[in-house]
Amino acid sequence: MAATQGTEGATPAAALRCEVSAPQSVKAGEPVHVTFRLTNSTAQPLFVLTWRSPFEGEPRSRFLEITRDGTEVPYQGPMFKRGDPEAGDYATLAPGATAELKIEVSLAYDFSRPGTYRIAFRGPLMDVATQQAEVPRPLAQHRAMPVQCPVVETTIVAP
Amino acid sequence: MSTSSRYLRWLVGGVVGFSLLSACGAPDEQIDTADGQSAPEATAGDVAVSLSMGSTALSARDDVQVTVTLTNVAGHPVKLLKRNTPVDGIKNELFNITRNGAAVQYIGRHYKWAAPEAGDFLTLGTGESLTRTVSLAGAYEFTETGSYSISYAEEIHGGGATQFASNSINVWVEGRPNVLPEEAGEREVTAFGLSTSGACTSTEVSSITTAFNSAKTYASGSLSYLTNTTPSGTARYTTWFGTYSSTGWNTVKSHFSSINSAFTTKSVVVDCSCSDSAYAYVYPSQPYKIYVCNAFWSAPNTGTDSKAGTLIHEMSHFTVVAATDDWAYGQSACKSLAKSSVTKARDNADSHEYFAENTPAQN
Repeated sequence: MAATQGTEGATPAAALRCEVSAPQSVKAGEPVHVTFRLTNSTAQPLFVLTWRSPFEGEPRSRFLEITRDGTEVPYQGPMFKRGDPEAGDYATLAPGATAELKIEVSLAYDFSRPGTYRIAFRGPLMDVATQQAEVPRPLAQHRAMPVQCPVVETTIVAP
Repeated sequence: MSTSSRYLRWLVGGVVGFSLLSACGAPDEQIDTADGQSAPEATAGDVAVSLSMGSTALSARDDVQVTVTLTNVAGHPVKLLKRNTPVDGIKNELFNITRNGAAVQYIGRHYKWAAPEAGDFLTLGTGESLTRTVSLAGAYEFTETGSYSISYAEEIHGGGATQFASNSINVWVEGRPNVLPEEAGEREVTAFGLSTSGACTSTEVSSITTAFNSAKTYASGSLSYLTNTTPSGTARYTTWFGTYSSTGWNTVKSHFSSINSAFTTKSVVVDCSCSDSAYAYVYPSQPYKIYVCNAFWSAPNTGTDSKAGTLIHEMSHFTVVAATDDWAYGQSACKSLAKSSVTKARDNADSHEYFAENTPAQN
């Protein structure tokens, strides 16, 4: 069973709506997946730099904040030094379209200990453009976009 | 609690219950006159204690060393019972240590002390200081990874609330097995230097070696700038770390102290197997292995976004070094970050790199 939380409280003008879901409970030792659903609520396509966001698809940065019973769970995945992005570093989101991104967070965080885990993505997205011709663009021209994703909880139970 | 700690906590004659002599000293104590010293024993407020550590994060291979300075601020000479000071190492529960708020077990020796004699005291002249660096690893339990808070254990020294009050320092320590006190002082320094992995060509090894040496120069140069410059809102500091504060300056200084120490004393491995378009990456919990990628090879050896600077960036990521994140990439975004959040700037790897590269140079 998955608990889905919506974007209550997000600014009405948010160009990207965010929903997050995670299993209510997982047995210790089993993989933990978190699913992000990001919806383009504008009338234009959005070109989103994937770095440091769920669009990376797998742990490639410390974009999530994860705690177990209030204590930070250290990120153990890779951290990159980036230069100017390439075209392939952007994801396209058509007007009204939703991207569903399932991240296996247990690949980069230790979920082996029972407890209540809180998982947060606080954004922002590092660069979002509305014209395909604008991307890829150099770091100095990046325009970050805030995104508000709800915090989800999952409980790890002893197997 | 591990088993080792249990048998480590041997007691030499039971729990100590020593106290500052005058309170419950044996009737035959003659400490005041025995050596002809006229200095009175230190009382509350007579001695200022300060603690410092060279690093804010320690891997399991690092010893946990703290530098203690006792300064006589009484305005006249004072006498201290040696075993209540670190002058001859840790012979008492000299420190208050907590991990995430919970008390950390003292596993060092407990002595049963005889009534102190003249030779058991030391005298600090007016304004005089005593500094000792001691290893805590054999005296306190560091089996759990976490954030440790360390202060001088003032309350055991005579019950005076503030007699030996010290600052409190915070350090991240990676859990390690307990060591016997005898062994603690004898651990070997890990061999340091650079090696490569992941099928580097000879040309690559050569350019990594050059970059590594330049990174060492960057690290020591940054540390000496932060040590020798009067802390203030210098252009070099504020450009990358924002509005000056002494806290901020000291945090950045401790980061470069750790970075410098890692480059000079640790075994660093640079791996050539990555073919990503990025400059480099690391796993923050796996010091000191740095994977260099495509952009690294086309970067200049020094200067903005250089090979040497990339090594500074990556070294700052390791949890046991400075545990930085990647909040912003590139000089432009890092300058903005310094203006919008000094906290994030101090936690940002590229900000450290650009401070170290200092290109174009600023004072």
